[in-house]
Amino acid sequence: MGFYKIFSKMVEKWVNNDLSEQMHLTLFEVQNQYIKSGSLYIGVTNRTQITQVTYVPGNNFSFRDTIIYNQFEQLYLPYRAIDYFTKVDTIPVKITIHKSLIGTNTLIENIVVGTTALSIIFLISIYILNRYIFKQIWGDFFNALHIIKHFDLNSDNLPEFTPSMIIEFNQLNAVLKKMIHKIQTDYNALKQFTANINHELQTPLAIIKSKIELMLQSEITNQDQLKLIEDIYKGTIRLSKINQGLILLTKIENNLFISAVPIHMNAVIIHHLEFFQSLTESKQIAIETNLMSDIYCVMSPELADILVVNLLKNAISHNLVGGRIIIDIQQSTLSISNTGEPLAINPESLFNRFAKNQYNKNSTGLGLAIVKKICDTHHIKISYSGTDTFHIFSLYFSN
Amino acid sequence: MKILVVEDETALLESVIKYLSAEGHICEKALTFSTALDKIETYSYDCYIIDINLPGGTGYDLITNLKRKNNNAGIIIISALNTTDDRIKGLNIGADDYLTKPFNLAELNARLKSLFRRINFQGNNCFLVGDICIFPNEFRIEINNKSVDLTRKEYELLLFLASNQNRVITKEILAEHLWGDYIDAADSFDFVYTHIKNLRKKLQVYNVSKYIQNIYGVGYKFSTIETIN
Repeated sequence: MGFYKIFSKMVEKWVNNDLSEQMHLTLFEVQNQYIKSGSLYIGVTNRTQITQVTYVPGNNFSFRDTIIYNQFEQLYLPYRAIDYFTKVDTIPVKITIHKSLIGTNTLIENIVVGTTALSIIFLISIYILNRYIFKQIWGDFFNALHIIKHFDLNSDNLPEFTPSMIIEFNQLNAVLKKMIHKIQTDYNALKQFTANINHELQTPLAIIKSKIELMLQSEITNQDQLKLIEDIYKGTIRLSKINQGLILLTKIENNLFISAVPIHMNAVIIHHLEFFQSLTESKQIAIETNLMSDIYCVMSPELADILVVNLLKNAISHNLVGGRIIIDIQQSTLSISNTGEPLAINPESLFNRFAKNQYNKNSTGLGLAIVKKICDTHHIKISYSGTDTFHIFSLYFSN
Repeated sequence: MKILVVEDETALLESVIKYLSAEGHICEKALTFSTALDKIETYSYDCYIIDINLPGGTGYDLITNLKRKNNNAGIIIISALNTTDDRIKGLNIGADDYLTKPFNLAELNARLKSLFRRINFQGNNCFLVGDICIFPNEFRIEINNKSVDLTRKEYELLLFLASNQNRVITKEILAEHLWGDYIDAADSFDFVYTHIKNLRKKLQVYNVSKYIQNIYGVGYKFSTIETIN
């Protein structure tokens, strides 16, 4: 639309100039003729019209649009006219020249349509060409991206990139390959390191434990000595459990539990509740379960066990004698709540490692940290809420 | 029983041998893969206790070797590796049991006894401990031919103590045997105390609760021998 307007304005100006030019010539002719013949011609010739007027107005020339009936085509056709008031000698005259706009209008239309069509075709071809070139150039890049995205750190294969016509992408591929190789090497080194720590620490601990056990078999009747031995033993167990807990955390962090399958969490909970039965009965804890729906989660079965056991352990050890544990499953949320003493620490630090538990001296302080780690790596959102006497852990399974 | 203990950590090896010898077993040791292989080839044993990480080879290879010889002996793996996959691998290769380090000697002993019974007395036999007759395949006991009703945990407790007669067993060891990894929840091991109490009550009906002796401050001892206090 705007384009049309601009163009029209240009053509209008051109027509006006043309008319002015013609007026200039006509005036010259009229004056010449007057000089030659001594009289002024009044009338219409061709498209020029000369009429006598009474005076010359201040604004002595102007343009206007008009329509004139064409007898042949029996149509009103558009014209542009220029009016010029002047004096030939002393006679005020008005000279009018008409110019047909048909031609120019058609011209404008054709040009506009043509140009627009050309632009559209131009744009479309650019677009098509662009996409084609795009695919050609960036195809290799997206292939590389795809390979990286689907790369599995646990496999021992190095990714294979297809050679590209483009030097920069070949360079990119080379760098990526090198980087991935390094990551794989580091990862395997880490896995090995984790396994080594386990062995290294477990053996001295096993030795200490066994020696203490042997010591107990000898005839020690001294109560103080017996107590000392028992304390050493307890310390050893605690050390051992902390060691195992830390190793577990590292393993989970490094995704070393890979055999993930869909686990029916309800079944896992029920299984462990049975196992804990004697413990809960001794402490006279009442267990209430409302498993309203089924939750399935994709994870390693070992991790599912560890998750549930740690949550239940927590609910039991932080509980009062004669207390309650309520296990609730509604849609995708599992909540485990227990009665108990007020929290000794800030709820925000509940999931930190070694968050102190004053009620269970044997606690490693890692139970909830392990639970949180498992949740974090399996898209489970865990949160705590509670009062001084009632604690609730909620797990939202988003897959 | 004649037992071969294969373990590269000397101190641990000695502890095991000392404990088991006191039980009356004849124990031989092997500290390296090659020594173990030699002994396996040359002699025969009733039971093998094998560590997986050995200098010069793995315990797995020793086990495969044993199985190839169509040996009927019992095999217990002791290992620091404790994932489910490791356990499954060990049992699939042919081991009868799998203990992770660090383990309690009393636990090892109990497993050994259980293994021995499995291999040698496959029928529904019972073995006698004082006046108590234990039916391991049926998880029950009889005293003077009368069946005594025990909960599963009480039964396991009794069996464990009876397998380690005249040994001081700490509360920790008992708790670990009964609840394994869940031990943290057993706050101050009051649970063990409660179970012992209940077990004693049931045994007292037949006047045998005295078998379970209190070792004050530390744990318990099971003994059918009359002690002079």
